[in-house]
Amino acid sequence: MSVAREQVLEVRDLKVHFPIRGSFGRTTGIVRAVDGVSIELGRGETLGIAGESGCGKSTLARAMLRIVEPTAGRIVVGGEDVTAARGPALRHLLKVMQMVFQDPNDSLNPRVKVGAAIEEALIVAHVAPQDRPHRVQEILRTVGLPYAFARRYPHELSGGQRQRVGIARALAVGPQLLVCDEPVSALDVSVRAQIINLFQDLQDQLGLGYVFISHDLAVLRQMSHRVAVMYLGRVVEQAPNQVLYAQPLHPYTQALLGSVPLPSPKANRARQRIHLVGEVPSPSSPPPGCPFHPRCPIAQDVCRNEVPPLRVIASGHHVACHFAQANVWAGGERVGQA
Amino acid sequence: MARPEVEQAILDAEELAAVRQVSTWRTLLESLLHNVPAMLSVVFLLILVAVAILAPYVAPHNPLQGFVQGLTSQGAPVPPGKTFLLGTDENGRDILSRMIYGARVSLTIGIVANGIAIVIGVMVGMVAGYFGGWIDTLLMRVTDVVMAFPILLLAIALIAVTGPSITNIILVIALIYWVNMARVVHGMVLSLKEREFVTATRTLGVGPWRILFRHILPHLSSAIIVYGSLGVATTVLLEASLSYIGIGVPVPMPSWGNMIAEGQATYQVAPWLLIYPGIALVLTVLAFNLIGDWLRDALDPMQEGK
Amino acid sequence: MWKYLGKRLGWTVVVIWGVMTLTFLIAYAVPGDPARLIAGPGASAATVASIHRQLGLDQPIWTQYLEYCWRLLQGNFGISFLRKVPVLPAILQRAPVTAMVAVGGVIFELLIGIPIGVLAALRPGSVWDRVATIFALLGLSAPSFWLGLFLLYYLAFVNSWFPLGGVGSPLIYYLVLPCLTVGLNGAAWYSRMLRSTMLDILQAPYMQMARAKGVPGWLLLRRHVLPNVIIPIITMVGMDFGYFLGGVLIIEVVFGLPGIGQQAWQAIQVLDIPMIMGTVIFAAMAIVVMNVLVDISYVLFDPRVRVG
Ligand SMILES: Nc1ncnc2c1ncn2[C@@H]1O[C@H](COP(=O)(O)OP(=O)(O)O)[C@@H](O)[C@H]1O
Ligand code: SF4
Ligand SMILES: [Mg+2]
Repeated sequence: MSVAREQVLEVRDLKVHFPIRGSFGRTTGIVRAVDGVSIELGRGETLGIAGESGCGKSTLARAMLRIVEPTAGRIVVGGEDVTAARGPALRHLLKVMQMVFQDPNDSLNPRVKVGAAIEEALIVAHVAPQDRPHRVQEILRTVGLPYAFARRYPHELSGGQRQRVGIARALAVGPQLLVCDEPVSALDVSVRAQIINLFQDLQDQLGLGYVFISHDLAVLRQMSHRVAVMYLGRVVEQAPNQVLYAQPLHPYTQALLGSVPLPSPKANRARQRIHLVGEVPSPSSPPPGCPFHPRCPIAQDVCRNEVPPLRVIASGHHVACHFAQANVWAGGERVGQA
Repeated sequence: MARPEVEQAILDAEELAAVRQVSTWRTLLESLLHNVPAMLSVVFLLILVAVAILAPYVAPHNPLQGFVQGLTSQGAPVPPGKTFLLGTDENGRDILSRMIYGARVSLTIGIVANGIAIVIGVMVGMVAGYFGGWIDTLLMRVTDVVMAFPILLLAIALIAVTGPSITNIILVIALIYWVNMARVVHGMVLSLKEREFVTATRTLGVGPWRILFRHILPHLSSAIIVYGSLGVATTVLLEASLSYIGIGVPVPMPSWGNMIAEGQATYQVAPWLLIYPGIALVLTVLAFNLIGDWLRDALDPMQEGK
Repeated sequence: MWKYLGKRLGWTVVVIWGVMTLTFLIAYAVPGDPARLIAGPGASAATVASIHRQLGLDQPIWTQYLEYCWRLLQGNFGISFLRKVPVLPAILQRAPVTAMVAVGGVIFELLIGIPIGVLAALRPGSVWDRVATIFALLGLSAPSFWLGLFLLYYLAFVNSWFPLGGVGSPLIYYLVLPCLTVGLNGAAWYSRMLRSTMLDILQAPYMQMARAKGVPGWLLLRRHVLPNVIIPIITMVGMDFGYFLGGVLIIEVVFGLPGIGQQAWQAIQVLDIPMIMGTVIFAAMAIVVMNVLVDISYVLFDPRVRVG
């Protein structure tokens, strides 16, 4: 797996904390939405990010694009540190990395026509005025929309078409990397597959890299080269696609996968299911020790006191669990009932 | 590259478009037809504007000329009759003609002063709301201070030092009224800038001014129209009040306000001096208020902020 | 709570400072010689020169500004050139009449506006509601001076129920029409505000549910509606009172009442700038003070503010 590849994105120990403001503006607490995440991405690669709602996926995505300010850590895009970039440096970052938002109903201005929205991105990318109509047409074609749609308002499109416009707009600035924050979860089930196909086609044609966020592990399985699983603002397991789905080592990953159908019925039956019990703790008061311990079926005393570090278990396979090694020995199938 | 999904997408869109592509102008017009008071107001104001523009052609007499036959043998104003439809004033001038020219003055001041107030208010509100920080604090504190004054007195003080003239009245009214618009716009921009489409546009690398004018301003248009028409109502009233006090439109130029002020001395024997200019004033203000209310319901401007 | 009040008070200081600055700008920074304006149109060159020196107009603008603020803070609003008396005492002497009109105006506003707004909200779409809406719109659209003259003509001249203006004894007899005029204009705002606030509450899902469950209407009114309308009413009363204190100028002119408004109007006729500016500052201060009182009453009436 250790193919030397060109690194497009590197995120080191990123933290995003939001102050909780009480009445009259006092700070009464801190939401640790992202609490020390490190990820990296090569050219043309897809990193899937999984995790339940509220675990900090969107915040991570937004921090990488500097929509929210990181509290600590480092973001390196195309070899340049952009953690605190301003002005031209920030615009450079936004040309390399773009975002596809979750809900195109919200992320497209209802008062701006499709063509104008894309053209705006072209202006940012310094495309000469006389080339813009042609480029708009080209980009619309790339995302599978006819040029006639340029004259339409978002409300004159279907949900799937709107998300195509969202993708087109991001592509218009010519990025190498798209951060996609649950780009299909707001869409009808019937059109999700089409949009996912589009993402795959675009990767083949343009060599795009994706940070692809989804709470749907089946989608990630289809899309990703590697998958990182987040829990309470941290990555608890990260592995190449086949490895993660075949041999999940973190009890949380195992539990998440428990709700994903396996390819063969036999494997499905053989799998011992872990059910997630209890609520996700609040990121404003994470439990001490392993953040997963209140819900973990195999938690021990050590889990309550010590934070398990993210350890390399095998090449490219990182797990943050005190008992990850034991789980490997158990073949990733057995989980002790503590 | 004829993908079936693309064809499907086109079909979907055409279906959707057929349903949704009703122009906002048509819906607005339809809602007007269902709102009788607003419709009457529109008709009334259209006629009023036409009369004001065509004043020299529609006014039966010279508004500044005192007619000999415009005074009774005792030198009192003549009541409404054949020659002077709405009677004359204590100088023997024709009330109707003066009202027609007065409409010119009132509407000009109302509309121009409001236009300036809107431009200032929208700019200030947008900049303060979008950029936040100390600009926001400063601008909003200035509006607080202006709002601490009783509008009429502030206008009086300003005109007292600058001298009454139409230009000064317009400038003074604009300088006071921009505050209201700034407040409304500020509040809306505060919520609009948190909308995902603004975030998305900013993430594209689009600059703040373009975002303000291309993305946020269109969402303010309903509010601007609604508060603009309500504002004209208040402005017309303010001008009339200033003229009534004697520091508005300088005499002998007629304005509804100074006609009432002049008529006050003889209203007991010649009530028409008060009644007709007063009715013109009330109807005009009422019409702008009714249109503002109708637009508020029809355009639902605050919906945009959400 | 103390923190909240402290913040509001701090803010009040800022507004007062803003009022002083704005009036300074109006009176001193306009083109021309302020001494000329302050001395009045008929003043001799010597008077103008003496005022020029007296106001320190030969000094830098900053010094002038600071001295201006300092004078105001000491209650020195200048000398009226028309009546040759200090402005502030003259205003305070006239203030009782104005205060009475203001109080009476607020009472009429509430007496007229609240019942109309409540009736309209309880029967939306009914004839009552229509009448209330028209009343409110007319009230908003009729200029107060015209309304006052109208009432004078019909209630005092045609049917001699009330005096034709001025003051006399018993005073209340002379104050009814002015207060009614103020009240009719203001009532329109109250009925509009009440109608929409009450409709919002009455049509909220939890109210519909409570009504469906048979909770008696008066209980709903007391528990849910009253607490929600009391705050906007207090706010409006406070603001109106402050506004009327400095702002019933027109009414006093129409009815010939010897309040600060009439005094200001006389000052306007001869461009008595110190008196005009003094009245403006006094009125702005009245509004600021009323806002502070409104803030304090919030703390007393609104449990949500108290908790913080
Ligand atoms: N601007 C913000 N201010 C305060 N808390 C926030 C903000 N944005 C997100 N959060 C909190 O951070 C946590 C992570 O949110 P998010 O990143 O949206 O999760 P996800 O996308 O995985 O569902 C949540 O608890 C959320 O309430
Ligand atoms: S460290 Fe302990 S609590 Fe955390 S996942 Fe592993 S076993 Fe469970
Ligand atoms: Mg999310």
